[in-house]
Amino acid sequence: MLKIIIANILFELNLKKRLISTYAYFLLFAAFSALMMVIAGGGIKGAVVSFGLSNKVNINSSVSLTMITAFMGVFGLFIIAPAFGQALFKDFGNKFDQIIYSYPANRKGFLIGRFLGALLAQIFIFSSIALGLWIGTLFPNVQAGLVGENKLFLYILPYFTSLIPNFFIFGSMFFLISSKTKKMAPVYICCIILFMAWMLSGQLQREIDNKLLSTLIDPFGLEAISQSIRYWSAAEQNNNVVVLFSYYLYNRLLWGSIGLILFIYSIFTFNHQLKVKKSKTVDVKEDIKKVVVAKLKDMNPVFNFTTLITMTKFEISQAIKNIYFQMILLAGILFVFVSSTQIGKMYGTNTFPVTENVISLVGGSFSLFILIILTFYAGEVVWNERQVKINEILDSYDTPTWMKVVSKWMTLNLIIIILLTTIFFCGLIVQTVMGYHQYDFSQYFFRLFVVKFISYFNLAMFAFFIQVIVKSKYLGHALMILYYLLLTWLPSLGFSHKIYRFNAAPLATYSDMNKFGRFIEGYFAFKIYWFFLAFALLIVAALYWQRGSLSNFKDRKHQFIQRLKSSFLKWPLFISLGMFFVLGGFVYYNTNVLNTYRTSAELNQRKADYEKKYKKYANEPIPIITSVDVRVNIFPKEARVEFDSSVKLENKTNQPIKKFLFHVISDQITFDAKFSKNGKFIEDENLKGIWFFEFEDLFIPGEKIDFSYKGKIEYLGFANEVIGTDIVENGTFFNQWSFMPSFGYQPNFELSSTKDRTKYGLEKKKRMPPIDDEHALQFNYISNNASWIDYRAVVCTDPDQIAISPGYLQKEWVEEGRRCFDYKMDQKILNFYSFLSARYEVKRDKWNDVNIEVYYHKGHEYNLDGMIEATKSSLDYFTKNFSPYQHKQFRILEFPRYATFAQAFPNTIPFSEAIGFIADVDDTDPKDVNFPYYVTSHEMAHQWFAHQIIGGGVEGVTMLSESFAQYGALMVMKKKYGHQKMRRFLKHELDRYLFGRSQEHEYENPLYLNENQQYIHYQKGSLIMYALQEHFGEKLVNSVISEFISQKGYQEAPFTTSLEFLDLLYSKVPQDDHPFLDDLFKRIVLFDNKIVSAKQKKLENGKIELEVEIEGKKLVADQDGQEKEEDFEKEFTFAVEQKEGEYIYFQKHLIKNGMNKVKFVLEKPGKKFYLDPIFINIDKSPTENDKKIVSI
Amino acid sequence: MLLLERGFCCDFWTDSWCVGTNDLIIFYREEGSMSLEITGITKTYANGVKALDNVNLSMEKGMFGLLGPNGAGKSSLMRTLATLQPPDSGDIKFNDIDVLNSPESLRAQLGYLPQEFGVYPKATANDLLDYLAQLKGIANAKERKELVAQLLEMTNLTDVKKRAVSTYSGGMKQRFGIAQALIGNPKLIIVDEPTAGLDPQERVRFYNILSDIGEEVTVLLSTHIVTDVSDLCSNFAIMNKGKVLVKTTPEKAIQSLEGKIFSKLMKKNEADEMESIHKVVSSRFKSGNILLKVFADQCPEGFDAEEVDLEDYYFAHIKGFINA
Repeated sequence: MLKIIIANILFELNLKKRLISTYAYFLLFAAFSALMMVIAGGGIKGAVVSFGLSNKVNINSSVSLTMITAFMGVFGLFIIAPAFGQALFKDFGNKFDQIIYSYPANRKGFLIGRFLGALLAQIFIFSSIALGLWIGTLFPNVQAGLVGENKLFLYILPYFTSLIPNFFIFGSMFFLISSKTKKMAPVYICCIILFMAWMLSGQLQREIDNKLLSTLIDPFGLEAISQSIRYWSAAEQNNNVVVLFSYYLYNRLLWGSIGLILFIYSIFTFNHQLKVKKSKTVDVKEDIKKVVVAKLKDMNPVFNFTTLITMTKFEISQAIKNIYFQMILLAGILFVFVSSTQIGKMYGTNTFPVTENVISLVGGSFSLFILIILTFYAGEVVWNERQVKINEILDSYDTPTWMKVVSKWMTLNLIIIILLTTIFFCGLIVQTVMGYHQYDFSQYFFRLFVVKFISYFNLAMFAFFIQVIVKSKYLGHALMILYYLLLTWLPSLGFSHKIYRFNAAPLATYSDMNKFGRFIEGYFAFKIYWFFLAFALLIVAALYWQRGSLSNFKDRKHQFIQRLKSSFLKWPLFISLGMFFVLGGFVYYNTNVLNTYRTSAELNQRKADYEKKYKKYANEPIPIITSVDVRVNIFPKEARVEFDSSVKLENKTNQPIKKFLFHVISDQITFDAKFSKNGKFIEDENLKGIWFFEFEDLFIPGEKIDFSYKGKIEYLGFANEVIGTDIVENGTFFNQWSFMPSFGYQPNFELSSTKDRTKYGLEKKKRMPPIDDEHALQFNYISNNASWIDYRAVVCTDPDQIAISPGYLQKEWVEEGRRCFDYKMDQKILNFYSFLSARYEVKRDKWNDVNIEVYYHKGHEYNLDGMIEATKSSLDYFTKNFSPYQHKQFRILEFPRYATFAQAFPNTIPFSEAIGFIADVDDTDPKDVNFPYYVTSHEMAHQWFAHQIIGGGVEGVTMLSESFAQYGALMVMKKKYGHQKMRRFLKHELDRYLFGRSQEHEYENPLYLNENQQYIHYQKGSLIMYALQEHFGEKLVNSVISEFISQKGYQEAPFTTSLEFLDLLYSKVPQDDHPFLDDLFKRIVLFDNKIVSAKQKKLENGKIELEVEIEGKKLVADQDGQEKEEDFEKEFTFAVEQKEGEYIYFQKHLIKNGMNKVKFVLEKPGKKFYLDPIFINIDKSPTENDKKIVSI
Repeated sequence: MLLLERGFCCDFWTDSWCVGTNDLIIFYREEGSMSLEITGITKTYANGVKALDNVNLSMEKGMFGLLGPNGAGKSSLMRTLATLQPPDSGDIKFNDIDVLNSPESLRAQLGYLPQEFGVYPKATANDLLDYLAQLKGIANAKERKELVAQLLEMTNLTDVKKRAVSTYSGGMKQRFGIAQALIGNPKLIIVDEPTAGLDPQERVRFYNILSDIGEEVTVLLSTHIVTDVSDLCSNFAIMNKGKVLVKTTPEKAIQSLEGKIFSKLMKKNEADEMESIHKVVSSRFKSGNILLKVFADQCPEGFDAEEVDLEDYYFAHIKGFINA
């Protein structure tokens, strides 16, 4: 048998050796791998490759190499599939099987040999990946800082964990399939299914609790790797070696065994008996009888519309009857249903399946399948007759060529309609199953059959054209895939204009409030522009269409020119091309004349130039805004806002001001600015939007002047990208940054990432100034132009809309057909105000003397009560524990989903329609987080933490606003749900903190010095603040905060810092607790505890004794994630659960580093044991902190 | 002469219908009304193979045989005539139609049965014919139904019209092929090696149909089987290596070799030597020995005069013993 195996291996290898494709693939993968490496190493300007790793990670670290190698392996599937399939199929396909299987050779040996031969050949081909990756690291344009020491075994390791197991697993599948079906097509179907499993795995991962499942179903193991290393810090990503562990191990075990079973199965069940197809030939008894000689009638051929319909019908039935079409469609539908379970999830909580979300989700999931089917069927319709081999007959008929072309083209369009209709029904089913019955049919129609259709319609013509001009349908498919890749890659290479990317068009997200708004115009303009090109290509395809044998390019060209000259089609062709150019001009006029098109490189250059030129003015004194009185006229339909502000300025410094920087950086603003003190504007000739204002006489300390600033923001036409989502037909929302000028050097215009800065020759910079930066402390972090201002605004809008700005409504009137509102603030506010206008419904309520108003879009009533309840509970809690509420009203205002946040302006909270308004919260579901409630409380808390105490613009400041707001929200939620239920929220916070730090681009800071790092000030902030009150009690924490507010509330410059708060806090707690506070605020501390075992036994008295073994580990990380172990002794909560969410034991126990054995007594037996169930301590492997209890 | 020729054909089949129409045929021929004229057709494939080398042929109503070994260029010529493959140069006229410049006009009068063809899986003969008839412009449903029925009847497929064509036996499939070629009552019918792989009975059936049609229109039949031509065709041409070697009638062909073919029965080893000495047209086994036929002006020693058949003529041409 061994001989046969070897003979077959050699046979297989010999075959591969002689195939040019072997070397072609080798080179291709080597080149592609090298390219990936160079891109990952920042070697190609503007191109990015990221595998969810921090961009500080060496490209030749174990993690990077494993990820890239595994990823390349995914593409390898399409080489592996034919290789293994063909290993057997070649005998059947070439009808050689009858000979081969008539030999007496041992069949198992034969099979094993063939299989191993194919496997070895694949290993040879894919060894190119490691080679390519290594070559990639040697490229001079790779950033030196991103290449560590090259270690050979790190390159080889992924072959043993990922590639070779995958070859074996997939190889077994393909081997089995081809040996059973004796066909190749099912092998390719299997490929698609594997691919889908991979995508599905990615989908499911959005839910924390699905991690195991989602990582198991990924046959490639790629998702399993990324989940296994999800919480690795940058240092760990650089230094750890990825071996089989955690999810990755389970995944490999599962798929490895599947592969093995399939392999063994295929060896033992291989059926070498030839299935001689007894074709159902019919034998009709007939004598050589005299044939009926009937004179056939002469008929004049008629080709009319009916003929065309018949042909189209025939073509479409050919397509639909195709089993592969049905399978891909079915796969798509299944994929849609699975991913629909994740509709709009936030914090693991569902949103209502509103039509808007459903179409986005279903349409989005499905679009890949449409691309696959369209690409595939363009090939099928064009090549069908040739494949069936009936082409010579049909081509000799006098059916007009144009009819063939049109019928085939119509078939493609019908396929698109069938697919879109499928999406439509999938959407309806998803909605119905979820118990949602407000189907928005007009939205379905418009978004699917108009907006999406035109896109596929263009694409179909393009794909058709490609298939007609190529000589093989596979080449056509390859060209289409190349097109898709280019379309998505060009922007990352710096070519982002849609005018040269076929079928590209800008379109804003669909919003319930604003629909597509005016953004649909640019979309249609681009699509129509591309339509004319596509249509011209279709005509070229028709003229190029070949009947009979395919001739060479020269002949076809000749034939094409001949036909072009004689055919009437030349007119539509010329007209289409003409229209293409006309539309192109129109598009260009909009994108590049009415609007400005800048590449990201240009933008970066501008930022770098700005910094180089003006950084020296950073500490120059500037005028400070003390009062704003603005009149804003919003024209929602015209995408225009006129403003007229009267601003009071004061020199609050002790230096006279001669000149200061003045910026209005927006292509859409035209303005007229006047200072009451004489002076002149000096414009920067190179950098648009930047001036110096130079006073004639010095603006002396203490002097007050007026500044009048009039002008308009206007969005003209459409741009290459979607711009101007802040001023829209229904749901305008913009703030003062959108139009007010900024004075003095603006650090936030600087390039921020170290990568970009190095590229432009700038030094690395901190993301925020140091905590003791005196200049920076002169300004709060909201505005570097003002501290506290008087505010008044008159806002006018269309008569059917309500316009809102912070302040109290003084009066409302109609003037020149416009509805106007006068808002006035009764006290000073931060220089932070917004304007909103929409057709609102209003829900009102009251808490003591505070008016509560929610302005919402009709139909979004689901969570209004929850929001109001949260507002009231928050007011209750915050006024009782912190300080009085400074306003007499609180307003929540819905705005379109162009942004997904809520933002706290003084007594005014714009709140995105995407978060909260359509949440489907089930408070009885232990996994659900009531996030509208949470977000409302958070924003409410900002009225204290930001609008009462505001820190200076230095590092750590966001702890005082964001972490405190999180704290406020947590306390309100804790009051509502109870301490034991906080797990559901904090588990998400822990996950996002740990993931956030693994993605850190620069370095991680401790909380009190965070540089506006979201995963720190939000997620870590929540965990830390919760732990703080858990340790000292709510009361103490609240009293410190309250005292801090009374000390620092509404303070003037210099502003406070996180350190000042900590000093106060430290002073209020015993000395012994200072190390604990250090751990929370000043260090990066992570636990890595692990439950080793949890065993229960019955005691004589009938009670239960539970013994748990816990391995304690405490780690202190530096800013790169380098960890050091530290001894500790600390109380942790132990909880025993009997039913999900219900604890029968909930007590604190002391845990030390090393092994801990703890015994305690339960009243009744438990199911699951939790260490720190509420996630009060940050544990870097939270999955090791619960364990099923074993009874002994 | 022409009458004789036709008579030969008719006599063979001993069918009465032939006789009745002879006059008419003769009349047309006498008028010299040539229907298909091929001049100077040349085709070189991308791989350098010269498939057609200055082919000149003309043919009239009736069955015309195109004889040649595999690879002679028969199919290339057929495809060119069927407007499926434009030649590099040359001219084709069918009646008044300039085929190369207005192929669509020819297609309206053309019936073509390629050497090999496939059909859509699962399509029944009836449905497929109906569909194909629409593609040939038979738009009227009622007419089409009648036509399909008639075609099925002619090709004796009526009983199996509800079965998928893909399940047909070779002969039935070829009959289906001829049925589709007849849609629209074509004036020029081109059939490319239609009987390859058919058993003798099926061959007869197929020719039965073909000879029927050959009466009214021009039928161009390519084959490498000499008896096909001698059985069916009034005119034929021999092609080899892309060239037309000769165009003649079967009678003339046989006549031209009269007294020039000789044969001898011999042992196998003897036969091998003969190749170098004589112009061997054919050799075949006969009761364990070999019957060798040679082409010569005078009877070689030990050989006997042999009755000439068309095959001798064919091989004499293919082997280059006779230069046209």
